[in-house]
Amino acid sequence: MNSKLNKYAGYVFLIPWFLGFFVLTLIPMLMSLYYSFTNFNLLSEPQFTGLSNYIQMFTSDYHFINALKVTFKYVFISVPLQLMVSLILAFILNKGIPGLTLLRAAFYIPSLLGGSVAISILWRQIFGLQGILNKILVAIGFVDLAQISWISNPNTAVWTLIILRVWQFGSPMIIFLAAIKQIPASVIEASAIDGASRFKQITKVMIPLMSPILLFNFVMQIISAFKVFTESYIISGGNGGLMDSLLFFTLHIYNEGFGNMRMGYASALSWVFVLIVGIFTFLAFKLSNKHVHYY
Amino acid sequence: MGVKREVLALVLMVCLMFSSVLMSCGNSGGNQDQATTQEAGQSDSQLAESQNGNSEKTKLRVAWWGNSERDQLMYAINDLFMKEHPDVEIVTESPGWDDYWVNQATAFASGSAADVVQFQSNQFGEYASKGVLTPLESYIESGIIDLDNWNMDLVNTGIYNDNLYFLTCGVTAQSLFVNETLLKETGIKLWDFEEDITWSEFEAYLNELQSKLPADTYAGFDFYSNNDLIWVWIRQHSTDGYEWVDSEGKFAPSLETLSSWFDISQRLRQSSAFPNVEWTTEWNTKAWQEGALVSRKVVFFFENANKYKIYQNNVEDNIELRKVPISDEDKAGDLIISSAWGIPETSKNKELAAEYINFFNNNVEAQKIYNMEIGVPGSLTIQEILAKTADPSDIIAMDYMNMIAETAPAFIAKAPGVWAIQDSIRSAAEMVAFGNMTPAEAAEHIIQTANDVIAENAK
Repeated sequence: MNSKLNKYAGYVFLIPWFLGFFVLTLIPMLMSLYYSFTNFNLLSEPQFTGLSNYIQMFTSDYHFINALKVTFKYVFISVPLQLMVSLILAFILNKGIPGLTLLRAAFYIPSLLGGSVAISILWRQIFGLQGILNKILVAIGFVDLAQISWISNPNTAVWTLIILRVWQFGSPMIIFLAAIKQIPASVIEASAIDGASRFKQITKVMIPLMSPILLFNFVMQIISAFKVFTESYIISGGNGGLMDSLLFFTLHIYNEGFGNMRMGYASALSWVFVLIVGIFTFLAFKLSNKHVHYY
Repeated sequence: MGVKREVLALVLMVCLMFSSVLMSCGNSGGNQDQATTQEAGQSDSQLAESQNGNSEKTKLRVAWWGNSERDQLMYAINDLFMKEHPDVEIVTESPGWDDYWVNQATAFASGSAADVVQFQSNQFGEYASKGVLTPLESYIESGIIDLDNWNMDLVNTGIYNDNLYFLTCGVTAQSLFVNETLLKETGIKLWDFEEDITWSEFEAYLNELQSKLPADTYAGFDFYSNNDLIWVWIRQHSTDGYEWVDSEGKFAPSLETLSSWFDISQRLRQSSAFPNVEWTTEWNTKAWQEGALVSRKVVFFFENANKYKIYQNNVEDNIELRKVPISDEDKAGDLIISSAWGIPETSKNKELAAEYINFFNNNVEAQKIYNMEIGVPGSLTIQEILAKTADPSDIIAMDYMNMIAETAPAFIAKAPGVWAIQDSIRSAAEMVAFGNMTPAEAAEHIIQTANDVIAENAK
């Protein structure tokens, strides 16, 4: 009796999570896979349309290409920048400077606020035509440069969101900081005895030792950046901005599904998106075989 | 002892698991999590208390797109209704415009739409064509909905495929707001309220005005992104009855009609009578209180007539209302924009829902509270009563609607797929505005997309 109970108790405890996984994740995913082959419009019964949604995506949906371009630009510029900033700050904050705890908390706050509606509105106040940035530019004499709205101009809009993402460096920074603390002092001391400069210690000793954490932060931030939605939704007013300049892939899916009531097509977009994120995550892990060292 | 403890742990765990499942089930029921329960005579602070002890009352769910001011009016009307129907408890759902349509789409998809749902004429075809709404004729025949002394032209805006699915609760239309105080400062005279001017005359007028305005002030606010105004233009240049789809079921607006529309705003941008696109986008994101017209940045501004009151009553400048220009062939194309109530097929309280719609539209006290909030009411009796005490700007808006109704082509509901087509019009307009497409290319793009969407929805 005792051993039987022991055998099944774990499974019983897992039931709520299994229920959540099946009901809220797996079944909806499978349903959306089915819908992706239909013309489901939310209001009437879906009809099977084969691969037409997928064909349309690659042949006649110019928003699809625009959304891919914007998303890739955002992800592959913002994530390396964000990781670089967070790594540098982690090294700085690792040193014993006054008010360290306060600084760590202060640097982490943007990560808590970054995706919020309030911050998206604040960004509009900073980068708008009459925003703070342009006021500063005028004050320092760059009057011509201050004639554009950084957030509305199709050439600059996505950069304002890249800055917003980089600003949210708190979360990876805390993880980097923890990783730095884990590096044995003896290794650092040994490198110092061997004559390594502080720069060499960081680049040749500490960063290689932190490579598993770098990979973790890179993969997590890549996935998180691909999923970004609120900022572009709020700042662009939901329509992806002028000339689709802020049309992230997630927003395109949302607009097709709920705006244009083309849930079948939106489901197809979602599956292509899952594939894209999956490919990049796979590539990141593949690269890690060569550059990540586990000790 | 050990076995007993394990059995006890298992039992407790199973109880915990089911209680959590039951708790989450208790929150189900469509948009109930966003809904507000309202009882007769309640103030907002009392709303929370109303959740208890009403099991014997019939719950009627009413949904509209809201804002804080409109919500208060609706709550007061609902109070009146519940005073007359003490056995009814109204549950309200009133998200803002964008969220409202997402909520409705998912609520209809899951069969949990409210009993009374507000629609706007752009969405009539989308919902009515899918068989998710109840035709209202039987309630009119039985007298539950009374259309005595109603303007039948306005009633007919709710017809789709020969059935009345929507009963208007207010109509409006695109109009031209003019900051007359600012205009006067330039010494240029404004044409009369009833006078028509053509688009060509309007263009020339704006160009002349621009030459007399200070820097960073524009004769007009660019309308390239105005998806209601383009339909006025299309109706001015289409065969009556075929402005949406032609006799073969294809997208009706011609390449020439669409490209000439984009040409107008492009010319006005080039002549600086309209600001550049970034400027327009920037000002478009602002609330009306901080908008370009109120801030004296533009003189002419296209807007729905029902908003005239809030503009006029909240600015020191004198705002005038004028008709949308007519085509150079002297044809008007005004498009009545109707907000209307409908009853979902899934409602279990259809008769009560019909009673609510009738009460909302025909009860004098209710209409005095609503006071043309969303446009001119369909009942002529109500119009006459409201006119006696209405704000002067509401009288002007009402006169405007009656004036344009005489020349406006008949209302035709847009077919399913309207959202995707409107989206393609918006995108194409932006491409033209930024010089990435010529007006002709934009027109071709819209026609191709629209025909694809129409074909997809015809399946």
